[in-house]
Order: sequence, then structure tokens, then C-alpha cells
Amino acid sequence: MSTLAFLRADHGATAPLPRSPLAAETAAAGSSPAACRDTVGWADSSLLGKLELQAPADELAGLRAALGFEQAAAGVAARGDAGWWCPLTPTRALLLGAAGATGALAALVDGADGTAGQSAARVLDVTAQFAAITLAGPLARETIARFCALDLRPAHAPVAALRPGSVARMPGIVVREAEERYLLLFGAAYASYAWEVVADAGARLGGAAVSEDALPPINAPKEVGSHA
Amino acid sequence: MTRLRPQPAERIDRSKPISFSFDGKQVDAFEGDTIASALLASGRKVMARSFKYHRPRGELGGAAGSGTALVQVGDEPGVRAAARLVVPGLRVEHQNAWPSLDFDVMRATDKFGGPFTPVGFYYKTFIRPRRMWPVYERVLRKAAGLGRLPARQHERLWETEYRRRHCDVLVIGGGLAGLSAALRAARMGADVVLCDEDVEPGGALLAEGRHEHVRARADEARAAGVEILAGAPALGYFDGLVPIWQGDTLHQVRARQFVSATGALEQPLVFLDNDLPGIMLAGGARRMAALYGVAPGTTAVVATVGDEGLEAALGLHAAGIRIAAVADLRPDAAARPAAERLVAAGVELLPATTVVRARGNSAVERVVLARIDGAGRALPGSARELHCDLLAVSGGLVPASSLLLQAGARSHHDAATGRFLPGALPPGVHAAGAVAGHPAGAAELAGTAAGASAAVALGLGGQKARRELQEARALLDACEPAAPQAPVPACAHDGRGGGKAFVDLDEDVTVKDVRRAADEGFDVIELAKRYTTVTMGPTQGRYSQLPSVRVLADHTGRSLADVGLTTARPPWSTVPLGALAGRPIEAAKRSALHARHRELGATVRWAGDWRRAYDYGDPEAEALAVQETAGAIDVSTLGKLLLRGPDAGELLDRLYPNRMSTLRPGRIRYGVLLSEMGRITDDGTVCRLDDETFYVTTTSAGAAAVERWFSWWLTDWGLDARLTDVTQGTAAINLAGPKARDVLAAVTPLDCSNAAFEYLEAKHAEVAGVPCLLLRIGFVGEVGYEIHCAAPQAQRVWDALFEAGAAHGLRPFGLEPQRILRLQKLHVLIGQDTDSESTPYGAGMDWTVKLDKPQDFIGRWALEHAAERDPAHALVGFSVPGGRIPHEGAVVTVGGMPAGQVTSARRSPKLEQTIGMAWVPHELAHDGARLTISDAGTSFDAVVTTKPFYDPEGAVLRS
Amino acid sequence: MSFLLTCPNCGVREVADFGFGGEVSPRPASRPESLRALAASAYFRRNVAGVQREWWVHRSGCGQWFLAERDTRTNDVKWTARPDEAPAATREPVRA
Repeated sequence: MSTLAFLRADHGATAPLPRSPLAAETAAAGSSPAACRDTVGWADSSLLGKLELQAPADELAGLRAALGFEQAAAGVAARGDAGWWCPLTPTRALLLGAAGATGALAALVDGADGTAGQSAARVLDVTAQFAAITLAGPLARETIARFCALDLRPAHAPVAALRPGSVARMPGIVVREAEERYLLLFGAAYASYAWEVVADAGARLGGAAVSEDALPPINAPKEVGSHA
Repeated sequence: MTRLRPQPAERIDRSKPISFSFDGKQVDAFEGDTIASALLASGRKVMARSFKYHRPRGELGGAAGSGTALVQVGDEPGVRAAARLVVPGLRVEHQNAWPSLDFDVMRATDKFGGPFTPVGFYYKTFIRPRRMWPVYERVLRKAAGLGRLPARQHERLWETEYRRRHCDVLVIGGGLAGLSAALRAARMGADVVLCDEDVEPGGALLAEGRHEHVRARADEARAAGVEILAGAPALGYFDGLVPIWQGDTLHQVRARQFVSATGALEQPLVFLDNDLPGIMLAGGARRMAALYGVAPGTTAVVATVGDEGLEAALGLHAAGIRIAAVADLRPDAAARPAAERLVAAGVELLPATTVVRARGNSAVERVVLARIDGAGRALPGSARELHCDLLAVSGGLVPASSLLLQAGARSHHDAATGRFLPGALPPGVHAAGAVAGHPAGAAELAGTAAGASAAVALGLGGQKARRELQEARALLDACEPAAPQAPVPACAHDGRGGGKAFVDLDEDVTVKDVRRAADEGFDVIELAKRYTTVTMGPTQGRYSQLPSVRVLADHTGRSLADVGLTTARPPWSTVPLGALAGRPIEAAKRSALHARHRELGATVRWAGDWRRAYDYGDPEAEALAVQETAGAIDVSTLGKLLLRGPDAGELLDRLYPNRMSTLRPGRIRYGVLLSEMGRITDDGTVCRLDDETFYVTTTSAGAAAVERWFSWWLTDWGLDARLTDVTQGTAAINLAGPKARDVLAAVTPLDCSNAAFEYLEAKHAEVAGVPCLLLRIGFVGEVGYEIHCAAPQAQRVWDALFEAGAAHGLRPFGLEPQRILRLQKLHVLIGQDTDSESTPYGAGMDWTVKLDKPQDFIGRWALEHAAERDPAHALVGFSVPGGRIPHEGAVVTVGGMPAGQVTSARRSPKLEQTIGMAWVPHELAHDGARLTISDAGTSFDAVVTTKPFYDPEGAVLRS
Repeated sequence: MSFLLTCPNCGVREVADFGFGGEVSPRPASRPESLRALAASAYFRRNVAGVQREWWVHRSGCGQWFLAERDTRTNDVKWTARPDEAPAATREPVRA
């Protein structure tokens, strides 16, 4: 067993399935896309695969390119086949992939790295560290404004904007995944609290909890002028 | 009903009559009425009793910011009658009067108590004897009625919404200047928000015959994309953040450019009994007539010191109110254009005349007008008494510059206009209209220029826009300045006794009070303010600023400029605390096992920012179970840091006073963290996972601070190591007790025998199929395994342990039993048993310090000094023969004098005695020393021990 | 207090997003002679009414420490930068 295996949420087909920190809260979420279309819908995305990569700036940039991500400026996430590449600092990035895909992601990093053995020191599965909630719909941005001071106006936070900062008084990260879709990442221990905050704000704006499959697709182009 | 004929600008909808109740009696109103306008329309002038003297008070300002008529609406106290719209069935009551508004027995404080209630009376009188203060306070609070909160506070539901709004330009104030600024900025491409405290934007012009113009402007602004927040006062300016309260929403607006277009505030005049209901600001009376079709009186006298009062008189006259006379203090008043129009309309104008006294029982019935000398005293033979039921006063203008001053502008007294104006504005802040001293006729131009300035500062607009801005500024500079204000006496009076002249109606502060304050040495405006509370009431000095400055200037022989204004502090508008308190959801961290603790009936309490299982109903039984069979406690809250890289060991050696780089993979070492002065800041274990990887645990409360401490030094020293905080993604369960090994062995393929898995060893193994890191450590003193795994797998591990543990008597235990158990071992809880003065030497943890290691480490220098002498105090254990359990913080005394304190104390069910830890003088820090503990008024003895009460040699732990 | 700071990694945020590390006051290179001198280096700061060089950490965001120069009278932040990219100190920041 690898020394850091105990930090991994997911261990492949043979190990027990990981349990989302929001498993209890989301039990009743509906899959109707109405909320995401008309007001705001929110879904648990906590099991999204997350890898933390730490390396000297030039090596990290090389890794990014090898994984097929375009170079992204500070404050912008790059979208690729593997998911989102989120540069947090010149020497630290977060790679967000599909749920349960961290093993595959790590293998991808290993392959891209070319210096086998080094990657273990650079890559850490942080899937369990962060819980995540995705908000989508015409009132998603307004909902977030009820508990978050980040400036997410479309002109200031275009699609793919990456905004680490305080979310509902927690350290957090916001990724604008599409015109009307925002991913909120925060510490896993805050999951219940964050869900309560989002539900409190969203319900007042007429929204509802939804299942992940009710969310609009990432980066879906949308007609201009749809902002609330 | 005293409704006027329909007025062109009125807001009420006469086709929609509604009714509400005031003190249980039905009041008829129209949709669009405020409580104040409806009460006035019903003929009620007395709406409140004053704060201190319980004098009858009515609506003074007639605007949203006015504060003389505060009423109780349902459970909500302190509602401004002129700001709150009436809705059908609204239940409104008076405040601060008993038994009724019209007959208040506390009025005696006014009639007879005058000489006994001078300024400072309460401070001076009720402070002795101190122990009586709670009694006095109860009585005084009742007398100074401030409305009524629901008896059961938790029934108050604050449903305030918080909304962050970023914008390019925030315009505060929706008069013509503000609307023009917003419109121009929006048209130049800026994202603009405008707020106004009135129910609709438009400002003063709404009631001044230009309502169509300003309402059209507001529509244009909306069409241009300006977000208009009406009924929304700005509360203050906080380094660029402006909170705006709009009913049930608190907007927190962060703009890049600010335009203050907050206008100017008409000030009252000061004369004898100037607080009688029926006395209103001229502009306020006009608003009542123009916007609500209400006649505040049938016969009015107007007293003014400037053109504003003349204009208001014209407005009242046009609305259909009889004007008995207009007194203008200016000798040349007759030459003013507005005066000529008044005279032409048949109104009597009295130049060089002012009001010196009002008379009436519960509302104004007559006023005395006179010419006055320089001291404000009526000239002999000049006094004339007129009947009226409305006295409209206009005592000059004060720019509403508070928000500008909060933003960093300084106020100065402008000699040309006779006004206090804001001086140079900080970058990104603009002012337009009356607040900046611009004349009324230039409001639109000033607003347009301010809006364009803001947009240009944002890089919007092309050459043409810049040129237009230059032109607008030039035009503005060429405008006639606002008409100069005449000098106004501090207090006009008829030279006779009787009557009170108020400078502050909110706080019932009189001219005499301010003078007395100055005489007692509080002769600086800031001191006079604190001593008399002048300008500190609900209107934040809106209507008392200038009067109080005038009185102080007059009494101390200084100019208005020398006296100056008081600091403008937020909130600029009153706001219920509930609106600031936040949504009632607390930012809590919960372990991945939280649901299990709930199911097991845990008492859940706050521990730092975590919600933790404090116990499961019986802490003593839980503690015993750990010692007799086995227990499991969720310790997921422990801080957990992963440190990777070639310099990881080096960093740890520099931060811990012992040697961490020599740790072999798979081994664990305890360590404390120190400040530069050698004080213990945190503690925990360090486990080496492989050559370049360390797993560090910290205290639960210290996790974030330790992470920042590590990353700070990493950054500062530039070491090659990568730090990741894995606290929240990692769960940890401490399984401990004589049967712990058996329980663990049942769920893991790992060889758990003592020979294969020793104390202070770490092993990787699957538990219930989940990869875990197992640390063999023993905080509670029994054989113990700290099982770390990814949080999403924790429930599975926990469930498996309890399934296997059922046969062995495994029990969950909480924080409280853990504290009992660790106390038996004298294991120190950092922050509980130590404080910011505790070194490892004093705390009896010398063994954690290796001064013989070669590396420098944080705290080393201080410890080298400390090692040279015995610490003055030492942390020891104690037992109490009598069984008393002292409170934490109880005093250890020597010879009757305080010499130390108890930091922890519990009853140990295993040892069946009271045990604890305390800081004691060094000479008492030996086994068997007798201590005297003084606690809650009694003293009792305790016996010192320096060795753990349980398993002092650690044989159990290692077994 | 709600002024803005620019995190060199994340951008402009409200000050509440950040932790304050105090004015830059490097640890002495060797052990100060006396306990008094040690205490002075540990506890005493210049505390100027003016521009000072400070440590900040973006605790709610990237979690990184960085340097800033701020006017303590106005909260006007002159610049922020990662330590390896910071301008040279405009004046000796240490007071021994």
C-alpha cells in the first residue's frame, strides 16, 4: 500500500465507495431541470475528483502542457479533456476531473510527467479535502451574492473564471463553469453548513436542490443577454 | 380629516382608502401614506413623547430621516413614522408614555423636575452607591422609554437578506443631482447603482413643483440600466464598502467610484418651546402637503433665515394653506424674488424678524415674533403674538456630508456661503448638488459632471466625453454660488422666564445643557457631544448639528469655523441590530462521523469552530469503559498536515525543539511548537511516512494557525518542501483500552501484537477494507490506536469497529471523558493548561526540548535563557482529599495571597477522587506539597503530585 | 475596516479574506546578546504612522504568504507581491 493511500477517497472497484459529506442532505434532491432553467438549482459535486499538484513553476507549466491544457492566466481555469486545470499559485494547481477518476488522473499525471517516482511527491489526491456544490440557473449568481463577496459579474468573471476566496465565511474556490453554472469548492468539514447556506439563499430566490444530472453542461454556450 | 385638495405631485392613491390602528383606534388613510402623513391627516399632531422630559412631540422633518415621531409597529420599536408606509391592518402604538400618549405622568420630570435633571444628572447622581446601579438602571430604562422588544427574544425572527453588489459607480441620493450623475455614468457604459432613503427617487424637487421632471429623470436612469434602490438609506462608508439597508435586505455595495448626492438638511430654529407639535421644518411641511395632500395645519406662520423658507411658504400657500405671516431674519428679505412673489400673493412678510417663543398646551397655538438683538433677545416693543396651528421653520442648511467625511473628506466652514462644506475629496469619491455647496439651480449640471467624472475615472467615454466633462465643469464653476446664509442667533427668546429651548429634539438636549457643559469644561464640540449626548440620537444629529454648534460658538465666543462639526460616524441612518447580525446559520465544521454521533445520542457542543460530541450521556461511564474494556473517540478535528520534500525534515527541526529529521520512517514523535520567546503555542505528533514525507498532527483549535506558521517559515526560509493541509479530508478515530487490540485485530489483516506494532509506531493497513494509517499513541493512557483514513470512508471504518467491538464492550466516548482520562495521565492540554507565558520548562515538559541538537530552532534562544534558572511557576498535578472540584481558574494561595491557579479539575471515576492541574510557585512543585485552593469564597487543601495519577511509568501504554 | 488587498495569486479581495502577519521584521541572524534584546526583537515593532512593509496571507484563498506596503494612516496599499518578486525594501525594516 502506498504511503498516502489513506488520504484517498476512492480506491477503485475493490474498495468501498466513498460517501459524500452531503450524502444525507442530497438524498431528497430532485432531478428535474426546472430550477436550473427558471431560477437556481444546486447539486452536490463533492465526489468530483481533485488532484493537487505542487512543483516548481516551470515544471508545473510543463506538466500542464503535457496534460493538454492551454496556458491560463491567473484567475482563469483551463478546460481540457481531463477536466479543469486551476492554477492557484505559480507552483500549485488543482486538477478537477470526473468523480471517481482520481486514479486515472494520477496515472495521466504520471504519464505526462515522464519522471516516474517524482510525481508522487508532487501529486496529492485531495478529493476528500474539498466538498463541492454546483449552482446553476439564471439566479445562480444572485444566489451566490447572498453569501459571497466575490465579484462574479459576467464582465468581471467570464466563463472559466477561477476565484479562490471567502465563500460564506469559509475559505473557498469558485469556478464559473458555464454562462450560468458555478462550482463552489470548500473544506469538506463545512459541507453541511455550506449546503444550509446555499439552500437558505437559493430557496428564497425560488430555487431547489437538484441532482447532478440536472445541471446544464459545462461551458455550454448560451444566448447573450440571459444574465439576471 | 385635514386633507388638501388633490395635489399634482402626491403619492397617495385617493381611490384606495385603507385603515390601520394607532393605539387601538382606527385611522383612515390612503395607499401611499406614511404613518406620519396618515396621523397628521387624521388630525393627530402628538405622535410621541420625548426621550427625557416626556414632552409631547410631533413630526418635525416630514422626511424619511426624521426622528421625532418614533412609534412601535407590532413588535418593532423605534420605527420612524415618516418613513414607514401604511399597510392595511398595521398595528401602530406610541412609545414612551404612560398611561397614554395624551396624558403621560412622567411629564412631571419636565414640569417639576427641570432643576433636578440638568445635563450629567444621571451620571452624577446614580453612580453611588455602585451596588445600587442595577436597581437604578431598571427604573431609568423604564422612564426613558425606547419602545418595546418582545419579552421572548428568541421569538424575534430576523429575516434580513444579505446581498453583495459590485458595481462601477454607486450614487447615494436620488435627487436631481444624483439621478443626473447616475444617468450620465450609465450612458457612458458604467454599471451603476443608485440608492435613496425615500420611497421613490426625486429628492427635494418632488415637493417643489418639479416632480414631473425628476420622475422622468428617474425613468430615464432605469431605462439606461441604473439599478435604483428606493427606501434604502446608506448606512456608512467603510473603506469603499457601503451598506445600504432596504427593508429586509442589506445590500453591501462595493463600487469603484462613489458619487454622494445626499443634498442638504434644513435645520430647525432654536427658540423657547421650539419642540411643540405643530412646529415643522418648512421643507417637511411642504412635503406633507405636496406628496401626501395633508395640511399639517390650517393657519401657518413661517420663520426663516434664508430663501428655502420663502419657497416653502409659497408652496404651502399654493397648496391651499393660509399663511398668517412669514418672518425672515434677514433685514433685506423683501428684496428676495421669492419674497416679492409672497407679497404679491398677499402674504405678510416681516423682515428682520424671527420667532422667539411658541405657545400651546400639547401643540402650537400661538407664536411670538419679534426683532432681536445680537444675543437673540427680543427688542422691546417689537414682539407680536400670532395665532397659528403650524409653525414652519427654516434655520439654514447643513450639507448632508457624513458619508463624504467618512470617506476621508474634511469639513470646513465656507465663509462665502456660510455653510459647512466638505473639502477635498479622496480619489474615487465625487460630490454633486447641495452636499457640495452647489446652488439648487445647478443640480443637474453638477450631477452630470460628477457622473461623467466617475465614468472617465473608470476609463469609460472617449475624447468627446472628456470634452463635455471639461465644459460641464467650467459651467459649474461659473454658476452663482448658493445664496449666503445669514448669521443666526444661538437661541432667540423673549427675555422672560418659562419654556425650554431645544438644540436636540432626539435627546432632549437644551441650550442650557450645552452651555452648562461648556461651563463645566466640556467646551470642545466633541466633548460637549459626549457629555450632553447632543447629536447622538436616532437622527444622528441631522437636525441638531448646526444648532449645537451655534450655541457652543456663541457661549464660548468662537466662530462656527473654530467650533467645527463632530466626527461623522456610521451609521448615518439608524438600522436595527438584527439587520447587521447576519443570517442565523453558523459556520460550523462537522466530522464525517457527525451523523453517527447524532444517532448515538451525543451531546454536541462547540469546540473551536467544530461541532463535537462532548459526551454520549454519561461521561464517567464512558471514561471507565476506556479503562476497563475499550472506547472509540472521533478525533477527526485534529489538525493534519502533510509535508513533502527534501527539506521537510529540516523545516521540522527548525520549528520543533526536538529532533524530527532523525525520526525513522514508520515512527512517531511528540513535539511542541514554540514562539520566538519559547512559549508553547501548540503540540502534536510527527510521523515520518517515508524519507521525504511527514504527517504532522496539531491540536484541533490550533490547526489553521499551525498551517499558517509552517507555510510562513517555509516561504521565509525558501525551503524545498510542499505543505498541504489535509485536516478536513481526513478522519481519525482513537481506539483505546485494554480490549482495543482485540477490536482492531478483528477488522484488519495487520499483526496487532505488541511485538509487531509497538508504541509510537505507525502502520499502513486496511481496516474494513479501507486503507488507513494507524498511529500507536496514547493520549488517554491506555493501549491506543489512532486510525486515520479519508473522510468519505470514515463511517465504514467506524461501523466496522463497533460491529467487531460489540463483543468486547466497545463504547463511543466524547470529549469530556477524554479530558478525565488525559488528566489522570497529566497530559497537558495546550491552551487549557498553558497560556501565552508557558514555556516547556514551566509546564514540566523539559523532555520535549533538546538543546543539545545542533540546529537553531524557533524559541531556542529564549529557552537557553530560561534553562539557566528554575521557572518561577510550574504546572503540577494535584488531588483534593475532601473531594471538592475547584472551578477552572480557581486561585492557589500561599499565606492568603494569590500565587497560582487551577487550570483543570475533574472527578476521576477510576481513582474515585478529585484530580487536577495547577500552576504553583516553584517551591511547591514537589510531590506531597500542600496547596490551598481558594474557590468561590471558600478555601480547601490539595496535595501536589508531579507524576501521572495513572500508570506513572507508562507500562500500560507500552503493553 | 474593509479595504481591498490584491493577492498576487488570486487578485483583489476584501481585507477580511486575509490574515495579517505584522510588519516585516526579520529574525536576527544570530542569538541576541541579552534576553532584553531578544524580547525587543520578538515583540517590538516600529509601528509607523506611514508606509510600512508587511506580511499578509490569503487565508481564504490560495493560502499563500506575500508582502505588501501599506500606509497605516489611510490603508492605501502601495503594492503586494510574492516574496521573491517584491521590490527591495525602501528602508531598513528591522529594529533590533
